[in-house]
Amino acid sequence: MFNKALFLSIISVFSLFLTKNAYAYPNFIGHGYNSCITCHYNPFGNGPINDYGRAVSATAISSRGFYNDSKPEDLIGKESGFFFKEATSKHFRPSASYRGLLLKRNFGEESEKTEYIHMQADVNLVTKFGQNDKFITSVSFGYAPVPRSLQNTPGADSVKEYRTREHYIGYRPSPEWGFYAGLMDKTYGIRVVEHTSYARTTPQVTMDDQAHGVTMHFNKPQFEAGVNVFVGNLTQDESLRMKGAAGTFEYTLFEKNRLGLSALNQSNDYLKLTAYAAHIRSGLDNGSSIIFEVGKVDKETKMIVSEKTEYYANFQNHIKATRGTYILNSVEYYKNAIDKSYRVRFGPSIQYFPISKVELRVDLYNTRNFSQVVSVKDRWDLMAQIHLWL
Amino acid sequence: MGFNGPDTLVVVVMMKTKYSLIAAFLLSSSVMAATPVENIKLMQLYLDKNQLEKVEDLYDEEEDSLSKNWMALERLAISFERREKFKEAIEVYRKIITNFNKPAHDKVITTPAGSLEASAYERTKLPLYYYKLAFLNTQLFGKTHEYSPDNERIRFKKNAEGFIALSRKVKVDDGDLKLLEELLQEKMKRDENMQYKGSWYATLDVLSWQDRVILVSNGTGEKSNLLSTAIGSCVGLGRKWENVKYEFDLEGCFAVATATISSENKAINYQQSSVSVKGVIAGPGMYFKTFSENVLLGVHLPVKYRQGDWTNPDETLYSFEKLKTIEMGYFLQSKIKVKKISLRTRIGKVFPNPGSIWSIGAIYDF
Repeated sequence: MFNKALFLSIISVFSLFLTKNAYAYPNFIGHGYNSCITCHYNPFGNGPINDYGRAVSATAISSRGFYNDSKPEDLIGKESGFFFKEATSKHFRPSASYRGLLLKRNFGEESEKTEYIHMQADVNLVTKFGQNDKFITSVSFGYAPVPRSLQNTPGADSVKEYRTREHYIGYRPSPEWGFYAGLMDKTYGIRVVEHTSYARTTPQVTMDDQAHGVTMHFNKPQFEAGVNVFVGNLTQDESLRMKGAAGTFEYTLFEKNRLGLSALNQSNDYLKLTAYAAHIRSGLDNGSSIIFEVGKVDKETKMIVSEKTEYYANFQNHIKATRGTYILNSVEYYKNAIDKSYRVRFGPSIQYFPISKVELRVDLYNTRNFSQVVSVKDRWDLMAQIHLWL
Repeated sequence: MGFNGPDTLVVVVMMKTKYSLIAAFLLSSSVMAATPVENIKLMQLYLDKNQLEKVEDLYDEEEDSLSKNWMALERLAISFERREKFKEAIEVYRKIITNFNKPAHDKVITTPAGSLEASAYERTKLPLYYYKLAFLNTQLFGKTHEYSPDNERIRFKKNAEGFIALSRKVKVDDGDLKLLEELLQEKMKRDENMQYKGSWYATLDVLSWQDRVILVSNGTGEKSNLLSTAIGSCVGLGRKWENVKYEFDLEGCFAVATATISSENKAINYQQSSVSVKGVIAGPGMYFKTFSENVLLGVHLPVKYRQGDWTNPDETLYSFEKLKTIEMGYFLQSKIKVKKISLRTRIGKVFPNPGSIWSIGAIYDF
């Protein structure tokens, strides 16, 4: 029994070690985009971007360096559609996305290990109908690697490499209100792109933690809110499905700043998790921004009764150096309240969009354990990512 | 004239183009000792064909006669101008004014702008020459750099401004003059941006580093390596000198941190947490304004003094080596300016400690 519990617990948290990115850029509040729905079909970000988001990506986010100086921006914007073409159908929006990662663990040490990971290879189809596209469906399907913790074990067979991570139907009776049902990310905290961030792994809202459920979205310039009730990922064993509810609320302060609160309660047969978070996203001058989230997570395991409280914090600045180039700096904090130990992760990154549909990114992470049991030299990891989309 | 001789007729038959005809005409003329008018026509031909060196060669050969003709001098000036020999062009235009337009020029200079009648200069080309001189001096001023003599830079600027004023007096198109004024302003701003300006700033950073602490057995002299990992804040002050391309600074900060410490191996068992560590980090640094004036990348060379309150398990048996140390290292640093506040990130190493040192924080410019 213990082994099964342990095994299922591992599966339930395998997302910690998966390397597929759910991409969303809450940092673009620096460009004046307070709400994700401006550019994404999903009102809380992630998943395919809409026509406006594609045009913004091509004409405001990506560099012009590889385009002829005389090429007009509106033509670049028109080429941001599927396969570089302007959409001809009013109702269908296909897309495809790929992310690959070159990872060097223990960078610069004798124990350095290098590997290349195909993090994501997805196709997606969005259909939209009705006045102001008030009816919408979105289905993604693609490849995701077997979780690292399960590779070369019998458990690997239980995970499908080709699966859907998001599919939902949506109804927006008005620009303010939206109702969605299907497999979606939970509405909690800032949905940062770094899926290994403590802010995503600790409350278990990272890249494969989506759940089937319904989401209500309310959006006005002054504030935005979402409530998500879910019954777990129905493709998982019933005992693993995390059921519960999540909600997030953001209030706009001085136009380009948002203060937010989130709560999450979810449980399965092995774990009960309750999380609270407060965050701020703040747009600075000229496309730059800072984000900060602090959270508390209570975890109660059921098979072996134990309780623990974890704390996390995530600070990130996202600085537009030139059009197409961003410099990021992250500082993350994680603490398990059981002991006095804690971890701090620090990472500078460069993000470069050379042309529309291409993102290159290099992250350098320094992880430092403040442990009174054993002191170890800090660790550096180097990550070089490529992200292509059509 | 030149078509009378039989040799000339042969040449004419061989010529195909219009320019060739003119050239043949002038060539035949020159064989028969060309007049200044014919030489001026030849200079114009060379200008049209962009054979600028030939313009100057011809002038040098026939200087005695051509220097007395304003049309020849004008073509020579145009040739210099096109070859970007601006100083020579200025000299020629001045000569044209002095030698051929002096009364009108004097009248323009001595008459106040409001009283100057167009009749005083309308039969001359003074407006063109003034504009040319304003333009050429603006060009020369624009090409000055940090190694150009100050008197030269000042002279070009003053001359440009003076001839712009004269051009305005003789009703040269104001749009053209404003363009020259804008070029002068831009250049002055560029020069000003290259000047280093000093200012003070305050810093507040979150800072983390690792220290090697050595515990020595008093009896045997055996040394045990401990590793202390510290995180805290550093408050400081600095002075910087910056221009549009670089920033140099000298700063220091006082750090207060807490550390956890334990042995790196199992030879001894030493564990302690929440240890108070204090220190001072100071040194020079510099930034390149690589991407823009607001995004800076650079290096800093810190000297670090630190003192830790690590507990000695038994003072009769052990002692700490270098409880207080002065160390040196380097930071690679980036800074992003947002008005008076900058966000700064630094990564580096302080020798001989293992691990790295990093900081992230804010700077306030006074």
